Amino acid sequence: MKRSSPGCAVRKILLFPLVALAILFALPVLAGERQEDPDEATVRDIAQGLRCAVCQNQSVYESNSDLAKDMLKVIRQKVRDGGDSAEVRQYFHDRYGDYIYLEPTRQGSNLILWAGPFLFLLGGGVLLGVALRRWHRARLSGQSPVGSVSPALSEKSGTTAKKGGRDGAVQHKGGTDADDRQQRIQRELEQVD
Amino acid sequence: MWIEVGHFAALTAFVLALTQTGAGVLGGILARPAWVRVGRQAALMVALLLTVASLGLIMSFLQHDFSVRYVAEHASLKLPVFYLATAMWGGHEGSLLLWVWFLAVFSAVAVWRHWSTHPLSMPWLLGLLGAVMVGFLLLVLFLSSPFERLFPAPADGRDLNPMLQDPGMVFHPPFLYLGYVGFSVPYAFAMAALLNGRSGTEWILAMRRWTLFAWAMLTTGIVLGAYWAYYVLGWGGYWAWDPVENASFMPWLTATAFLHSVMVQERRDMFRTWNLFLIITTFSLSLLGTFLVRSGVLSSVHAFANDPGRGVFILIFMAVVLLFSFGVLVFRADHLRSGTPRLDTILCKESAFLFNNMFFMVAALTVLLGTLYPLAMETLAGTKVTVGAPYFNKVFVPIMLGTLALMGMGLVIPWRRATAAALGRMFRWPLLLALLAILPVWLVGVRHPYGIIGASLVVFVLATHTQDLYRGVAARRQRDGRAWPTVLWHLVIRNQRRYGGLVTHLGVLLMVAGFIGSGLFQQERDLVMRPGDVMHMGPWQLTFASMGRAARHNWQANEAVIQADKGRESLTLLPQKRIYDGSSQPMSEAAIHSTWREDLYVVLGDQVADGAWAFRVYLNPLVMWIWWGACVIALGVGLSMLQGRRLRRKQGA
Repeated sequence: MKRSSPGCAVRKILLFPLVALAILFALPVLAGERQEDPDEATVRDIAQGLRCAVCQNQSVYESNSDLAKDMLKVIRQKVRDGGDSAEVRQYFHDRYGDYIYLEPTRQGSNLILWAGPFLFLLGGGVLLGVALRRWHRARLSGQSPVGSVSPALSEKSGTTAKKGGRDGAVQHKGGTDADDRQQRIQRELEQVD
Repeated sequence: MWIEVGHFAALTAFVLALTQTGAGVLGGILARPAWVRVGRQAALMVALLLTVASLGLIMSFLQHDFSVRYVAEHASLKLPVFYLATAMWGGHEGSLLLWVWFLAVFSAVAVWRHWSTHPLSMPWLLGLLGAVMVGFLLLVLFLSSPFERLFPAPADGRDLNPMLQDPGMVFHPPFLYLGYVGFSVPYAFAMAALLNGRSGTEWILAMRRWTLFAWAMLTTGIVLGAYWAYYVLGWGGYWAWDPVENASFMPWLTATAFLHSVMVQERRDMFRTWNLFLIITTFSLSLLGTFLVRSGVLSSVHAFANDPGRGVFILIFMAVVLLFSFGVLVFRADHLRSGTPRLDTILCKESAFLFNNMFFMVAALTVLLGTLYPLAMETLAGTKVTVGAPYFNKVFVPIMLGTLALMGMGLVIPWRRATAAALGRMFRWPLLLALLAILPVWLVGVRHPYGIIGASLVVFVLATHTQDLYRGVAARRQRDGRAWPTVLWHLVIRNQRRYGGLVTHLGVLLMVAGFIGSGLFQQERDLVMRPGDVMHMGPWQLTFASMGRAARHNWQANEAVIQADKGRESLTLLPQKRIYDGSSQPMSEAAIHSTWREDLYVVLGDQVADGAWAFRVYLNPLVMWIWWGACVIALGVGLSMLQGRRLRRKQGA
């Protein structure tokens, strides 16, 4: 079997994802003709943003309940009469309050909802950044860590944990093997490159 | 008759679970090995007895014993045998029994397997798992008992909720519970490590396979739930960000974080406390999930029963478990300090794992916030707010895209130290491909930023993973010069966990592709048709041929006959509107034609006028990729799980 140069083969291999992607997005293009009522898209858009007032976490559009069907009829009627989606949504809001919107509004205490995830992300990122730097410095200043004998040893032989010993090579055997192999592969790769 | 046997077995199991808890803990504290042995025998007996109890309930269903209230409420004479047997977990009381039965079996297996290898953890393991069982058995026996009788017995039962008469729903709860309960064993070991003041690498090895198993089960359970929602509920989607779905999704997120960060502890012995925190959080969230759903505090698609007495007990039980677990964690964690973690460089696999954990925790917190916020608002401010799917899609997707980007890097970044040059070499091609991928996506007409970034990231991850595999093979071929299939085989077999992880990632990628396709390209139409009418949907031409009737066991239906043609391909779709006996609510049975590229999904609506029917037709691209992705994930987990034994043998354990 002839070996081609690795660099070129890498490129060949990496073409696969590209081909796969081309296939993946060769999705059918929208057919031109539509037979549904042109208002129906607007109705759907409104109905998907309002909840059915008696169901459990379903939009008016998805729900099968009688109330949802009635609401859908009202929406359809209002759209036919030329109401835009803001007006129709307001109409239901006047009757049910914020509860009717599936997507919470961005005002008052709901800001907790909208800001929360990004504050979590920010806070987590900052904390992690600080911690990483500290641990990196700890490495530079070279404190010896306090290790302990693995419980595999202590539970079996009944010895108590020793201070100061690095965690046994015993249970890291699997790890170091993999490490060595990894390094070997790395080295070989560097020669190849 | 069977129900008495079952009831008696459950009562005996309750007494023995108390024995198990007491004997285990006291035996541990007072150093009496004989007591701990008593605890062990009790644990094995509890498993046996709860098996008898559950089978007793199932037998009562099979014999149509309507003198049992639970059977009368969830079955009927006409119900097919398969659903009769599985109706055992068709309602609140039976599901709880199923939960505690799984827990008993898992406890027994854990005690039996780890008896000789973890003598120090054993007392706590017996005590903690016993205590959780006692809590659940209290609920099952005294507050929501499936063994309750009904006199006089009705002639026929009220039948199982039609929505649950579907294979997807039959298997969804057991898998979900296998996942939830599977986390109880690692949780008990983690707590034992804290209470004993030792935690090292060894419990981690035993626990990783438990956690992997539980994670795989939970994943399967969640996907089955999505599958069921897609096929039965007939709204063209599979994930509604319903509080109940979120309840099962949160432990999944934290468990995923744990599976990753535990590798760091194994390899570098860092982040012990953090891992304990993660596994305790995961089990707590499993309990929270069970209770949110079962206490009726959420009224959602899945809520069955609502009973304040039950809810209060559940909340108290939950509070005790949480306070105890996190209290122990806070007060005992400093006994485990393995010193400050030390990183050779900031750029390394360890920190990639940390960032992975951060993203997963933020994701879990976000879901928690969105799920509990309406409850909090109703309790505190008395206002009703809806936090629906549009909110979650907006805030959750960016977090997940970040996780996807990390996934592309994490697998290939080396441990300990990575030089910028090596990283440059590693990511040059994948990054280039990811950028190139934007072009075809744009040309296809995707304008949504999430869609473009998502697709580009999928390509990026695929490229780094493919490159990683290729380099591994190439390096070994350089050395051994054997044919590449042989080399690949050896590479994977030598390092099952790593390549199991790689396969799992590929499964996740397939799913993400499915999410992007179906989330952004779904087309839908609503229209009224009379027999003979024709409509077009994407490449399909649909002809409403005729309207017929269909009936089976316990339902009757209107059935539309729809002829679907695409080029030379032609098939018949039969969407139904079913009326089940004893239920007035009609159920839509969507007709779905699935191909690898798209699903054609037809739902029959109401009769609008004489002979005219409303139809809703969806075209859902790439939905099948989600289900296949889940299968690939299962493969990957299976591969990873093969390795545990070998590692332990190597270490002479």
